[in-house]
Amino acid sequence: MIALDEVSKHFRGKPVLSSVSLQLEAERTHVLLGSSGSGKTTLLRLIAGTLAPDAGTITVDGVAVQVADPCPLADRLGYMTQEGGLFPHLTAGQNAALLARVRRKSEAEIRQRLDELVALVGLDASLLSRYPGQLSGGQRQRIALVRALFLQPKYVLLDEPLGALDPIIRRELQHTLTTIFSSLRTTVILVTHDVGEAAFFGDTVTLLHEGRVLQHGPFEALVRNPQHPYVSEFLLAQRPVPQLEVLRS
Amino acid sequence: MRRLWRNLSMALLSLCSSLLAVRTFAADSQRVAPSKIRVASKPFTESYILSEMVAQLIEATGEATVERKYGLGGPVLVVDALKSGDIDVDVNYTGSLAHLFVKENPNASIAELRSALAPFGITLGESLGFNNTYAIAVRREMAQTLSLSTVSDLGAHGELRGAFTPDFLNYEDGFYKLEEVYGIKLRSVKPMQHSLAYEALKSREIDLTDAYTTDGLLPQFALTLLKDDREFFPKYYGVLTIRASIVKNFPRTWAALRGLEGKFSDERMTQLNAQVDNHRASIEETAHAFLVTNKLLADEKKPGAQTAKYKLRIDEGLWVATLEHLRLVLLSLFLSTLFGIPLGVIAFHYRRFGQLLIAATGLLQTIPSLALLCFLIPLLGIGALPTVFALFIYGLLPIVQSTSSGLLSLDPKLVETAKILGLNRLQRLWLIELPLASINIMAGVKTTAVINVATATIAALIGAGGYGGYITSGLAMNDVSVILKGAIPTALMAVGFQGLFELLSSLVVPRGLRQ
Repeated sequence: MIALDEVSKHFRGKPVLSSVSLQLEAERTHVLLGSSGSGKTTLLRLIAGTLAPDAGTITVDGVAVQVADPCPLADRLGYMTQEGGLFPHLTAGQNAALLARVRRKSEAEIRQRLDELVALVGLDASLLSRYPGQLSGGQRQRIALVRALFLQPKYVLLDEPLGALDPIIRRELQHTLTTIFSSLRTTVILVTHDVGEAAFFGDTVTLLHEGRVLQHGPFEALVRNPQHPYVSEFLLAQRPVPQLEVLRS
Repeated sequence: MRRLWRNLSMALLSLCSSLLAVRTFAADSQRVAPSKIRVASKPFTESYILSEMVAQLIEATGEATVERKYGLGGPVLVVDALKSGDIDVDVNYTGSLAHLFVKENPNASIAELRSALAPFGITLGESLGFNNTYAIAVRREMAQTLSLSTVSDLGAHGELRGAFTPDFLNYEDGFYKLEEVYGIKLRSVKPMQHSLAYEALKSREIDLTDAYTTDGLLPQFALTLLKDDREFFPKYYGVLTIRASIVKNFPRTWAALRGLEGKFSDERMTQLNAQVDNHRASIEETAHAFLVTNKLLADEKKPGAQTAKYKLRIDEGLWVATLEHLRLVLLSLFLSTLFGIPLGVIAFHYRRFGQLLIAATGLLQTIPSLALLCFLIPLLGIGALPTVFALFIYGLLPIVQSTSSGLLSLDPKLVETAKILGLNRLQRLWLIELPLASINIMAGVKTTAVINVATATIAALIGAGGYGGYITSGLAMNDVSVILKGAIPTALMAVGFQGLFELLSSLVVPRGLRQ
């Protein structure tokens, strides 16, 4: 479980997070929802321990997170960002196995794990020798996912993982992700500004606005029982396209 | 040329001397009696000829072998190298020595100079006879028509136009002082480079210029020197300048060298210079013929047989110069890279310190090469070592700067990702940051390589060889073909390095970054 207690963070005197308290249960998928500047990425970095809070405490499995360089939880934590965060000078395979190599895992072990994961995310193993520049956006995200899952992390942090993809690929990948997360039983924290994505992934959804948690709970609860006018405003802001109903029926 | 060096010396001498004191002491206490005598020359014809005579005499005497260190960058450098014991003997000028050691009297006698130099372990012979001082040169036919024979005669000819080397115009005891002493008024006075001024005299665009009394080009341009009837110019007698330890350890050699004393008139020296300047004979031949004529050397020792194995730098194979030049460039480039990249990394991580560091390396780059070499002689001697060090210093800035700016331009998200993935600082640097910055870094290394190829020509001033030898000699002898012999390969090598680095970039820069 990940617990935040009264966590605050300022950047250059500007509050980015104010007294955030949250309990994120293990083996669930938690969505941090909010517009840009709401503090959701900062929250992710605080949990990863690459950033120290100004006030409050963060515990992971009951142990307080100590800020350190590199990330103290690295071996228990998978990480994936918008556009994957793949290193352009390394091949897909080198990207995926980067930390495993740094940890001096055997090449046989690495090979086996790569094959396993490539199959899991639905990629062709021949793509592993390509550079990120030679891959499509969807392929890059799948490789990033392979990298995030490589050391069998207990937690996976996803920062707008589907933000840069076209709708078709996005939908495909959404399904891949949910399948994988439910089968692996990892704890997932996913950051997004997309309400649909939050509804699709989130066992719980946390709506952040200007550094404050406005509501935390199942998506249903946010819809049925909004605890702040901004909650419904935000959920409705992404307007449906009525004309599309024709297509569905 | 000589005057330029003298002006430079003013500024540098005091700095050099203080550094020197330390090393002279160390050098002398370490010294075992050498069986090799190092003969230096400065980069102009007369100095080459006289030093070659010294070298041939030492070889003929047989007490010691000779190492020729020709074309060193001027009297200050040569005197410094003599003081520090990096060279053993050279021919200098009384006026230059007086300027360096007996400031209050530009016409100090040889005895006075000898006692001034004794504390440095240097002694002097007697005058070689000629006085290579400044003079006013005019066209011979004009001198006849206007019956000019002395500088005083110019007083009656206000219609004449003069052009003088910038040094002579700016120098405190230069032209304006001369005007005052002689009461001359010219129609016009212009600054002009030496070789240009001779051409301008010939084509009658000007009527007089400054010259050296033993300049080998005087006969060729049909110029006459006006007599300095008020003794305005100091005396510049040629005189052997030698380390006292050599005099003590090789008495027969010293006796043989002293055979040169009094053997040169101004006219004789001018002829010898002219012979070489007009390519009628090589420096070795000219020196040898003179020694034989004056019965200082037996005839049968042909210069070819005796001196073939140590050819003069200007005649030395291009191949040797290329290797020397390459060695200087590659060695210094290696050092600049070795230190530059880590410094660039440090500059990136500690911004404040980084700015200081880049400012400091930038400042180092503004030190004129001759001044830097002068600083380095007391510490590193002469030859390849100080040159490589100087090039190393000059090469730092582009590499430090490109490394730190390359790191600075990295996508911060990628750096953050590496951090969250669990790579520590060193792993991030080695596996992620440096490879990503490699395009920038390679550009910096390339810049340094190309700059070094050009700057390495200064090596000639300090006896480290390379293409610069041709350039300094060519400049000294006013011979464009010799200059080009150094300048063209230098340019080609720079282009070559440029190409080499394009190639090298494709090996060093990771493939994923090259699409």
